[in-house]
Amino acid sequence: MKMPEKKTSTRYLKRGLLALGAASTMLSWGIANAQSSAAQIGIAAAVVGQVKLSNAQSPKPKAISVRQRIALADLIQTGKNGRLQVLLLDRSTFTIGPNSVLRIDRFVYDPSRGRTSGASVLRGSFRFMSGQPNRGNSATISSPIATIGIRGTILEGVVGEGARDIAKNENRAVREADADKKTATLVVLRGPGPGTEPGAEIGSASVTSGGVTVELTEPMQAVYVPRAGAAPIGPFRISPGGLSGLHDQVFPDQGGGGLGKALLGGALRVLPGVINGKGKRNTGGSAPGPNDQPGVPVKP
Amino acid sequence: MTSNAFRVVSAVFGFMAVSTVLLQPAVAQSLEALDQLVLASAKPADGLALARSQAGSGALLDALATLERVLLTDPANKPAQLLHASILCRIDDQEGAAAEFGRLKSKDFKKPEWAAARAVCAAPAASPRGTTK
Repeated sequence: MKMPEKKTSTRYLKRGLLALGAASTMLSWGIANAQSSAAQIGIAAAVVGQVKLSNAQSPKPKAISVRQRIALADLIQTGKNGRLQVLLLDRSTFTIGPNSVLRIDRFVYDPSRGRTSGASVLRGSFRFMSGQPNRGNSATISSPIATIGIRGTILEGVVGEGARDIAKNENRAVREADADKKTATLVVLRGPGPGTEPGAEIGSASVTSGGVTVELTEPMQAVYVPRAGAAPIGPFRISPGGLSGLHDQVFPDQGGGGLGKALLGGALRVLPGVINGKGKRNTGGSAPGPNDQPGVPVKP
Repeated sequence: MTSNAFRVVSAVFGFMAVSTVLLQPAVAQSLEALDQLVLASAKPADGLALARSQAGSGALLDALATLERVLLTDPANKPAQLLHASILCRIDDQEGAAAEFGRLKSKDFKKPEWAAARAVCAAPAASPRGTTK
């Protein structure tokens, strides 16, 4: 009676070890696979000119191509003629203009619960557009000196000399601020506005720097952070010239550069029907207007 | 260790491994879905058609993203610029739309096409229609 029992135990032991071995192998393979592709959070959806990517595994920047996978912590840099749109898993997009540096630091996406993401724009111009609406969505974008919190929105910004260039033609508080040409940060909320059609969340954003947070709640509201530790200046309404300059930095081939700026200076006047009487005309950037509220702290 | 314990351990490990492996295709499928979107807008004409379809079904931000792709590679694409401007009106970015219309000339478009785009922007925005958080 004892011998068969021992035999049975040995058989189970062997089976158990075999099963454990197989499971461990599958688990290792699965985890390795998950680590390599769970970190992939989007693709390069449009690539123009010189765009390079580097990461911890490949520190030397390499040119990227359309549909290349983008992973967390990849450092993406565009050259002087480079432009890129990154399409993330939740269909949010990051578009960066020439001479820009972007890194996606954090991305957690559950279609039923929403998306949490964090990115850094270390230099250059960008447009962020939220993906599929979800109440659980949250996103932050960090520049070297400011943190932008985003809720269901289209947001544009510039970090560095481009921001300072635009600021020079905005209201007095903005243009006279002592700015750092490498890190000055300009952020503009583009929408959707309160009159948006259904299906798009009304956009808003907050910009924090120097312990002060400023809220942007309407399209064309802007905030300028001139240097590290400085409180954000704003919200103020970006001028037509400033908007044009921002557009030209993200999409340099569309506006005709200086010509575009010249035309846009008068665009709002020649197309009165386009503005639907909301009275949101801005100040033209030369002097503070009724909508200019430099240094309005929301959360100390 | 008893045979039952081995069974339990192997079952747990097996479940974990299989679950992990099964999750992989979900991520891959999502990335492939993005591939399909990009492929569907690889040619400007196709991208424009996709954007029109997305805008028609109310996926306005998706349409804008598609048009962005088209315009990154074909910045002079006037129909894409016009559609982009009119969608900005639909998301109540009136001043952004005005700026983009300012870059365009009506003579570059068929009259009905231009009129339709302008009509979208001329329509008064209703009281808040979007979803708030």
